[in-house]
Amino acid sequence: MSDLTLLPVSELANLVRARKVSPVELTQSYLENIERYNGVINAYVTVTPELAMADARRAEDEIARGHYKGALHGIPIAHKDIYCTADVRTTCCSNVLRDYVPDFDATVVKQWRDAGTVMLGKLNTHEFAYGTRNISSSFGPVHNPWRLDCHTGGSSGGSAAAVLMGMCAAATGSDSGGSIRMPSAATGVTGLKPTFGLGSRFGVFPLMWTMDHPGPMARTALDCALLLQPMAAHDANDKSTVVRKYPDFSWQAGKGVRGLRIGIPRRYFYDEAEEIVEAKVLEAVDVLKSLGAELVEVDIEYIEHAATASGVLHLAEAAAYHDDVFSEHPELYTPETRRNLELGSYVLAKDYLHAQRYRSLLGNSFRNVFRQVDVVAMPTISLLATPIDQHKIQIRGKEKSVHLSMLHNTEPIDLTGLPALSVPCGFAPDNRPIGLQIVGRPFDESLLVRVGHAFQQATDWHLKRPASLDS
Amino acid sequence: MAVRVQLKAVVLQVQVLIPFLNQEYKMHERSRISGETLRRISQELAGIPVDAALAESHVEDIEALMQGVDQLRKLPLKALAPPLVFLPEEDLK
Repeated sequence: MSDLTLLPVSELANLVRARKVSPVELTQSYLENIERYNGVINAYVTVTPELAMADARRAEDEIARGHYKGALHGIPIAHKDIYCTADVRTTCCSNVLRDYVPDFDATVVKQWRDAGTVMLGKLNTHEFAYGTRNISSSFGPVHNPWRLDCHTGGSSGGSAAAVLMGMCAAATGSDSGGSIRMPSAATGVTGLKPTFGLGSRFGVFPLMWTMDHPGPMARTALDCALLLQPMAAHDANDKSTVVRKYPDFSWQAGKGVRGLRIGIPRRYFYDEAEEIVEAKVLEAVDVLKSLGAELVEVDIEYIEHAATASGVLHLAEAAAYHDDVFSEHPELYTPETRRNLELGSYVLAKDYLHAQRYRSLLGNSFRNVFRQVDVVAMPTISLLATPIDQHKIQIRGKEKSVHLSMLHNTEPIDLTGLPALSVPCGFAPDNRPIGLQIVGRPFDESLLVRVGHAFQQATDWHLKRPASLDS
Repeated sequence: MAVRVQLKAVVLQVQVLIPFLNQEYKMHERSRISGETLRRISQELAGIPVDAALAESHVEDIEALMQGVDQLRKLPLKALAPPLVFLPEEDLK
């Protein structure tokens, strides 16, 4: 693996700005890694080397002429294949859209393009982002680089694996039940789900309109801040985006965590996780304590109903979105998506609205907790990545669904729309990564970056890469 | 005068609402879902036909979900409106 592709965006940006590294050279390095690893990992479903090199040459020329656009200028990235990209195939990893080529860019794609990024291609996803492991895709599953027989988490599994293996410097993901944070935790990269209403959903194929969050995935919390910056804007094409003046999301990075109060919700988030996950996350919050943070035990009232509410919402909204195509051509969907869309027919409208009302109830519970603490920290996912064909798991003596267990700690945060960051915080003895989730108040992304950055300055989990693929 | 009318309206609302919110109602117990019910919902309401065997295979998942929904329905949701805000379409200038 080329050394350059191991560097975070924040460091690459300094090199590009100082013209010590050219965007063309950088792009070639990432394309070489795609060539080297993609046959095994299956992270990319479309690679666009000609377009990438054209973007890179343009960036190089602009920078040489003194028109440096900022930290993302000349940085090679890739997009989850549910983001529409003008003149580049966008399939949602489904046979439904096998040959679809949009004639427009999603707002986020345009925002990153305008910031000067170089697009390398499109990344594998669970079909229509409707799954937790990136195992149901018309292009086949993504393999976890740490253990090739295991899933990467999903739905943004291609994004996570590509970032981990230096096949791009950063990527877009989307998160409706945890699809940015779950794969970040399962592969050992960093992912940020922003507050609902911060980023535009325009041009991103919906899974569920009321819970879809676009966001960045990268090596570090600081990188996520840089990548989030251009996304934070009102978009007339997406009425959910708020009109707001956003800060520089990295402004608090470097301030440390001394004096911050970190909530630890043991009930539900810790005590239902695999023991190894709980132990490693408790070690991680102890690191934050050793840096001067105060740990405060908290409890989230009504949290135990989150799975039901989330289930009702995703079944109903996804079934509504796919109603026309699905009723005509159910055979085009993978069996897992097909089953979920069938189940969506059975949800009553009144229960859909009860589930929506529950979101306010749960939001009030979190608001009460944020009167006591600045952020809340817990395991991102309550279990380790499992083998791709495994669907049941024993956790603390109880048999559980892998799919539902994956969602357990992340979906409550989509229900509330709160911002959440996942950072790698350790490994099981067999090298499967574990993630620490940090949740904040609405639009307090810069505080999450501050906590994540402090943790990553004190640890090196985010720097680990599997060596086995190079041997 | 207008203020007095508004205040009167508020007082009236509160008077009407508070006993209503404090009242405890009990929902009827739901009976267990059958495969035949699901098959007919799918066929007759959703327009997504499934055969009897497929409908039967959905029963376990939907019954589990509905047991969760039974609990969701009992939560103190009465005063909460669904957080779905409609905005009229308008041309931006």
